[in-house]
Amino acid sequence: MAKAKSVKPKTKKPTATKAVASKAARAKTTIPQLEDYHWDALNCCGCKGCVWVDHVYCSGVKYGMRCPSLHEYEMDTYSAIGRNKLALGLLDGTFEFTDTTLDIIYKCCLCGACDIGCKRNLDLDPGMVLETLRMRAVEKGAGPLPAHKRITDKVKQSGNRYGSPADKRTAWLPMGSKVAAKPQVLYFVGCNSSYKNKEIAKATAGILDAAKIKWAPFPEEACCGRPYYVAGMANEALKQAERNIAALKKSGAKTIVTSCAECYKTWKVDYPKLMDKATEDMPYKVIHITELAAEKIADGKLKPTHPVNLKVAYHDPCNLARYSDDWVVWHGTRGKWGVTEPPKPYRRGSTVPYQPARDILDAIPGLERAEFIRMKENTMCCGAGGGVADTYPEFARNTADHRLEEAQDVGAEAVVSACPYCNDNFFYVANDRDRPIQVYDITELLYQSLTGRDK
Amino acid sequence: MIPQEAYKAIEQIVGSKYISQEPEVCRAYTLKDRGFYTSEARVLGRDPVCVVLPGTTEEVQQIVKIANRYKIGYTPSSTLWFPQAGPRFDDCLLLDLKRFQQLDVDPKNMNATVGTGVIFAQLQAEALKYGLYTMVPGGGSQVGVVPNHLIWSFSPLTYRVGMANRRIMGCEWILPSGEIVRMGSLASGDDAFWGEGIGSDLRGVLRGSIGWFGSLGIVTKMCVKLFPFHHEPLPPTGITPNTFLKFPEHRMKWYNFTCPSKEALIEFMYDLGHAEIAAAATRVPVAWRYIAKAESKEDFWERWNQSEGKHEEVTGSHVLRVMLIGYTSAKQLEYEEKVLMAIAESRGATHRRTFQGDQSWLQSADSVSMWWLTGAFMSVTGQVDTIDCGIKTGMDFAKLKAEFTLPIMPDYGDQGWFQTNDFGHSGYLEFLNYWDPNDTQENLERVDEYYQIEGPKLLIKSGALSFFIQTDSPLTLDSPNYGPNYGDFAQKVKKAMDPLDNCNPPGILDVIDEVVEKAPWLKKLKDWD
Repeated sequence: MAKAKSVKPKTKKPTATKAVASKAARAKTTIPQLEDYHWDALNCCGCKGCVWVDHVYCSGVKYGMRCPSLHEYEMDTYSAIGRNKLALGLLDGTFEFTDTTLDIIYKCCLCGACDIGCKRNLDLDPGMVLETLRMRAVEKGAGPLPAHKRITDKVKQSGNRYGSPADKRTAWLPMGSKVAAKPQVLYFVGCNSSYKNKEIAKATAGILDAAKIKWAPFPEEACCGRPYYVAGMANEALKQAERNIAALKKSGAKTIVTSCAECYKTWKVDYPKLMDKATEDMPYKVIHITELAAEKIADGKLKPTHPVNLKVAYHDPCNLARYSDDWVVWHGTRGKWGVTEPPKPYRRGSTVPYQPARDILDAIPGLERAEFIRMKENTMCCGAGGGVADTYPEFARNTADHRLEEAQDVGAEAVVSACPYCNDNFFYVANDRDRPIQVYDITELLYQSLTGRDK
Repeated sequence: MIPQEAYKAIEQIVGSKYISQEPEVCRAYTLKDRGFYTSEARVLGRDPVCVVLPGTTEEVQQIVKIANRYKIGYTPSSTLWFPQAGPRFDDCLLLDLKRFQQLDVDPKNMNATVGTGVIFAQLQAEALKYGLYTMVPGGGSQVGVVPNHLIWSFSPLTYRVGMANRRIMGCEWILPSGEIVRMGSLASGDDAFWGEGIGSDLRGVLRGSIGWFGSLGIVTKMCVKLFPFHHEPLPPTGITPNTFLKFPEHRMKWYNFTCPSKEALIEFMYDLGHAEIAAAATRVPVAWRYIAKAESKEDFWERWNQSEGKHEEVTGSHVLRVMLIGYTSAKQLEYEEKVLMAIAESRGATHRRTFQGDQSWLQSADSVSMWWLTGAFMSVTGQVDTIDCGIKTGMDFAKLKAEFTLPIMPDYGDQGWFQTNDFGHSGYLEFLNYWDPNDTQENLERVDEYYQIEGPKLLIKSGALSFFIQTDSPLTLDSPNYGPNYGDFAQKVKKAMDPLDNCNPPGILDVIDEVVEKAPWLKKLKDWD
């Protein structure tokens, strides 16, 4: 960017430039620091762009909000506005980490709704304020919450969030499966589909086979580390990233496919973020199965021919949708008017795979697709994100119920997602609260249409 | 702190989920660090000591009665988008009214009954479903419908639908005493179809020009007028931030005209009113056009700083933006377009291409982008008068702003946003200013001087009626300019209705004096009694 020509500030030193992590802190770690986002917290003007659906897409009162936290708890405290102000108070020493502050910090799905909303008008990074608040809570010994700890202890002990035996991780793999000796892609299954929703892993494998892709399960797969990340345990998350990247390197493969939106975002966004690298500089490429399958359908290499007679609404998982833009590194300074030098690249949720899942569903004969009122960048989290399903299950269930109601309001018989954690939460709530709506992962429906068989 | 007995009593009313006095919780409602209205927020702003979210009118009524019993000052807030509606005094109990989510459209009578937590984007979206519409004010799509009907509330669409405070049909108003007043036809029934009710029409007391920002009680429900639109769909299109409502171009269009002079532009506006055509007509600051084109804050500044001859570009820009709507038919649009082009020709204006979709004003009004440029924004005047008078004020302010640039952002002599209202019956000028909230203290003090002292003085000197004049300048000084001392009247009304002075004190009155007294850098500049 050319330097300002016609404006010569009288000021010598804008005060905002002090609000970045110290060089000493930066030298010690590649992990983002709360101080790096002080300016973003400070310049929140309270417009609530973080909580509303993009006004162009607003449909009225019932589904006008996209911040699950504010929807559930209602006080502004439980929005990015409140958390920005809290961050400032923690940074200047007004507040300390207490049960109340932890409650405010962790009652959040880390769904990115605030981040994308804020970047409509203000170009601030509230999402990173929320994430680094958690990291700071852990750094100060206040976090994570006990429920996080229970999960992360299992990851540490068994390599998965359920504490299941590591050697059973590939038990989902059908007997006699042909996995490639020299795979084009490695399938990173994730904890959920490895141990719980195995039908997603089986369907994904079936889709890869149908597309004649040489694939293999990720070697010695262990948790992607997301439970660490959402708890704010950045050091542990970084170690898990290094472990997984080393395993990938050892395999010689360069491309990973996931069927889990959380694993997808962790590999694509959070690993590079924790290493202070750009996504494009990572030694691998991560794609979601929906991206791959949609491409193969477009190429004619996958042919969904068996009808699936169902009206579905596709739920954009936050971590596959608005919050999965490539991570970009920026270590510049802010000058007059808050202008960055070099210009800061902004992650607006506008270069993410919204369309592939829709293309897949549209290619399935007999299937009718309805859109949620809140879709794509305006999607409402299922409620399970950010560790909320583990720490505040009632919040997670209420949010899922609200989302299922929306699916029913648009006439859907089934809600379809592309993340096993959304799937889990929706499925539980649909049953628990007697909502007459079916729940599917997109891989299940595609596999059904490709083969005429259920998994 | 509020007395614990009072806290417990309120908690009994709303439930523990909806009340908190924990400082970390209350901090979310602070006025500080919000990048607006500089010294008012910086000097007077503070955290509330207690936040409560009532859910019904009766709950509000009970809370008000408890506040009166314990002499607790309280501030009602809908979306907290204006410093007057935020905590500005010690031990403030803040009533967050977002739970008032009622929105019932009455398509037959063309009105909507709206709770205080409903925002304009929601109302417009619901209205459009019925082939009805209203306008979204300059405050933005995210502002509350109810509070923004208690003030003038402008957007280019005001040209056709008129000022917001004249669109109130009826409302439910809890007086500072705790009594509930139902105004308009609500006084005699549940149907708020008509604004006039039994006895005196109290709407004038409630709203005034700028309203009372909750200092004369709390409105929990209001019925507002809607207007006929067309029934064609307006598909939402694009991914944030590049989203818009696609126009059915046979029923609605934007038109941009470059006029040969400011005088021609003004005459063009008058002509539109005389011809009784158009849905909107406005001239916007040149910087807004740069905002619309910029990909980021940095991109804006690169474009804004780079052009040579910027002053000539800005002061020589006479672009009139007009929206036509074929409300009844495509033929109406055809007819109005013919008239519009004939007027343009007669005024020597050149028709320019423009984007055919609603990026702003119909459902989405991005007032927030005013903060995007520099981090802080304020208007020093919002003036309803003839267009000519508004233009004069804009020119005067442009000169004054030049003296304070920097620290005010340079906009090269721009004379503000102006337009016509009510088919040309009045004009509107708003003069906008941007500055860096992270600037040095010395520069922030200059901003305060401009906004709190020199701006109001200019208004007093010119006799311009600003909608900020009641809040941002001492009424006792400027209101005699208008004949009787309206400051005295306002104080008497406030005292009569709120003798305990509990309800968002000091209301709209003489805020500037309080700010000046508490800000040493302003007090030293005070040259009035």
